[in-house]
Amino acid sequence: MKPKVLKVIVVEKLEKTYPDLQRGAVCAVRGISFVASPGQVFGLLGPNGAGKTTVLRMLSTMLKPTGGTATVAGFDVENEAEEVRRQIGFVSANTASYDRMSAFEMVEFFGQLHGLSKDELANRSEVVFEQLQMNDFRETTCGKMSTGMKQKVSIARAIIHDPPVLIFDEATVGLDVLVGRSLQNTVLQFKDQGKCIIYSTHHMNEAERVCDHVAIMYQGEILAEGGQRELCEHHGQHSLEELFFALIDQHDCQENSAALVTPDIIATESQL
Amino acid sequence: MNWTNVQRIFKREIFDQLRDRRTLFTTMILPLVMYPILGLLMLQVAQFVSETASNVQVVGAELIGELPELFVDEKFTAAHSPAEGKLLDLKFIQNNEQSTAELVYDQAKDLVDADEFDAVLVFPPDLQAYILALREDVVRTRGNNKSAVEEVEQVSGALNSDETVLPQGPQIVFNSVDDKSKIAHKRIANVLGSWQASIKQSLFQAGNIPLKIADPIAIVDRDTAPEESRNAAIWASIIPMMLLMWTLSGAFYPAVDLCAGEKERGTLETLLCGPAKRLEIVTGKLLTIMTFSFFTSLFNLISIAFTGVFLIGKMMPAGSPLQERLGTVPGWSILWSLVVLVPLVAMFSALALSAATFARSSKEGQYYMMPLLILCMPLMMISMIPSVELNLGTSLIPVAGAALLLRNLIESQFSVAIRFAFPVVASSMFCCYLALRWATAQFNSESVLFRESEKWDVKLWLLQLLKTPRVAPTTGMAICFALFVLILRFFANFVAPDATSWSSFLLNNSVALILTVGVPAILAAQFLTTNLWDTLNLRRVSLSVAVIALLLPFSLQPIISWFGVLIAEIYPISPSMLAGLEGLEKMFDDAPWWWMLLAMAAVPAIFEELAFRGFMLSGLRSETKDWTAIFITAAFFGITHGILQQSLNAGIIGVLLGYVAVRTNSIIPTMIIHFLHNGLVVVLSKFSASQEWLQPLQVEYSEIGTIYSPLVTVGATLLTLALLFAFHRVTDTQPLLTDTA
Repeated sequence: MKPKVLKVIVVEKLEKTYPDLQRGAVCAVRGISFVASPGQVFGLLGPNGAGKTTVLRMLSTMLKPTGGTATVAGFDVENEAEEVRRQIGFVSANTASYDRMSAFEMVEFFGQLHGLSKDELANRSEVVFEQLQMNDFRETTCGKMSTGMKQKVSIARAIIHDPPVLIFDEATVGLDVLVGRSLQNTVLQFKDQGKCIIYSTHHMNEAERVCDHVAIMYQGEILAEGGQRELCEHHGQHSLEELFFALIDQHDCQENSAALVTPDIIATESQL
Repeated sequence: MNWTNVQRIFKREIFDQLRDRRTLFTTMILPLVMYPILGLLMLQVAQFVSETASNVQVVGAELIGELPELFVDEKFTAAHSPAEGKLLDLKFIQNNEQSTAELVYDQAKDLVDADEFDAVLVFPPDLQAYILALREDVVRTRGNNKSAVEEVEQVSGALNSDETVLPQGPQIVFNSVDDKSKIAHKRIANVLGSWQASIKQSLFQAGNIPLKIADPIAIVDRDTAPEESRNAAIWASIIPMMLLMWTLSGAFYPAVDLCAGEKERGTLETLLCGPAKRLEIVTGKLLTIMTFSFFTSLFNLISIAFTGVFLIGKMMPAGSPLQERLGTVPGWSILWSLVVLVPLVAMFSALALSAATFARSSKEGQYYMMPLLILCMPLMMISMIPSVELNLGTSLIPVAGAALLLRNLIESQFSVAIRFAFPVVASSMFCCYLALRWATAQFNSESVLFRESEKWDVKLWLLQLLKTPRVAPTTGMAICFALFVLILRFFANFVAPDATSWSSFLLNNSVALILTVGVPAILAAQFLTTNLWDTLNLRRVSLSVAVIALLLPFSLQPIISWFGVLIAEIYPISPSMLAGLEGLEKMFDDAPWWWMLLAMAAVPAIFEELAFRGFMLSGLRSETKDWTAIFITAAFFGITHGILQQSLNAGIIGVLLGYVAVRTNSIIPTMIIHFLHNGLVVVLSKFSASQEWLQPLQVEYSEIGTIYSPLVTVGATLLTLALLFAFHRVTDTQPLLTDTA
């Protein structure tokens, strides 16, 4: 057994490049680093295509990094993938439920895969179904459920083995306001239970409410990272949304000016 | 691998699939109800076709009044048509004695083509006169030697413009493409056959000649095939194909739902970040697909047997005309076929799993079903070709061997089936292993599992391909290149002019090889990659490697010639091809050896190596494992040789050449080996007969000719192994320069 670590997630210079037939090699994540601790909701914010899902897929061992390292609860995502998967619960935007299975069957299946004994499974399911208020549709097949109910099932199957790390990848997409708010409350409950939560979203108000630490991602890079309040104060912005736009504008300006400046520099160098 | 996890996944998938009505219907219910329905329909159709009366026009029936009676009350006499009489609806018209035979035929043809009659029976005007004259002749010849036949011939000669000596008998005008017309023809022919016998009888009676003189001997057929085999022949050719199609379908539908469907629903992602390893997930899914495919086959077999025993067996009792026509449907013994189906179930399941994993959605998965079926179809249909038999050669062909084995089992030819069961099962299991490896690789491939459903922009792709060349070609490029070369070679065979002399043959072959294999490789390397030389593996090698490359072809020669013998034993060369090859050899008698060496050794060695061990191997190695790349390259190298026997031999040499190229990262040694190997064959075929020193090394072998003696072969094999060992020691697998490296 590895010793209990204070920083549950440690990401260092993580990179992901993949070959693309139409665009050549595409760099989806460009050497990002961050750490996340227990009892913390770490927000990964950014527009679509920023590389958030790629980072989360690397953390959950679905994708292999092409550079850098990442550890989850002390286990390396590349070399100790199996152990990492035991430490995490993954909830995606896609409710990912088996339409022909009931809520209980689905949770039971994942519990069994995680190696829970019959008694453990019975106890955990009772707790989880109670916590997520799912007893009303315990025997309903997922195909007949609403999106909100399905997302609850998805959360239940992600937490059935009581993992120390929970990853929410744009989990509120497609949910109505009420269900979305309920999910956010659940996330906060998990935080109070001492779990380390990685919460990816592109809704800034949602991040403001849930996350206590954020990293703003854009084009595979982290533009800024820190506590919400500190970040806003540091950049002189009032809200995360304003901060987000300011950072992106700044990044784009830098890119454009770099593109304009580079030829001159090359010309100067060649003259020398 | 944790088998508990595999079991859990398997159990879940099975329950999930059992709850899916569509899959259940396609894989379980449809096979069960299909055969009884199909059997009933066939019976209906067969009865309908056989019991519908044929519509026949009879022309000139009035002209045969004095011959043995054929018609009574506008029908054939019962004596000549016990069964057919009722099924022939006759319409009589008179034959105009003035019309020529051609005119009558044209009119009859129009009637049959217009479907007004199923057949037209025409009695020529001179038939009766001829028979009567013949009778007189017979009577007379008993008394004197005067011939009446000559008189009749004079008459018929005057009537018919053509120069036939004997007048034409009754003509049946029918259309063999039209089934109804064919049945009508058969019925009339039966009646006329019986009538002809009675004419013969009357002639013999007239001359007081014993009837048995006409048929002094009776030919006795004694069929060694057991009764059940003979009866099952029709079914034995159809059922294997249907069974195999169902086995594939039974694997494919669940596979699409389990893989492409999971991707679509997003559940695959959930499963992948769960504690189960990918191999466990693949195994669990594969076992589920196999279970469904197996039960689909089982239900098919049960349904066939049930239909045969209870339905058709009862409705079509032994000896009935329908039974004679359709044969006996195999009974419960057909369940033996299940043993053969097991390895095929595994193979089809693994294939279906791979294809379904590659698909992004269920819809896309369905699209892959057809190409897979089309690829397997020709092999499945082999059981329908009567001339193709189960032997060692055919039993080794995947799917086809199984189809033929199934045919033998259904025909109850168990002795043949048992003899070749092992090669069939072994070949199927080998293919299953390959398919399984492919499926596992698909499941481990990020680009396959997380393929975005973006729109494919050909223009963007081409621009990317040409504007930003890569360090090494991709696997896709290598496969496309190989297919392109195959297509070019195929068309080159048709375009190339026929060789009339050795010089034109050698020139045509060399030019075709350079243009269809060499030039595409050089162009592809030049335009698609940044470094032509590296892509084509044109790198220097050490002296020791060069020396080994120089020696290897000599030590390999005896083994390769033994392989040739083995291949010729398993897949004998057809007599027509043998004749063609002999003609070619004769043509080469006048060819100078250096010309042959240039065209048959140097040109292939340079250009085939540039293409296969050069461009193609580089491309395949950039994304696949070295041995996978070697085997795929060898397979394509073999296929381009066209003739099966040559392809197999080339495939074996291709593996060795691929290995040498991978270890050295160069095609220089493979060019040397290729040149010397081909060169030795050329030189030996040209000079071996005149070289006495070679004779002690060789032995005569059957019709194939001379091959190396076993002792020489063993010695050469040991030398080859020693050379390969030395080669392995002096080389190391060279990393390939790629874009990601």
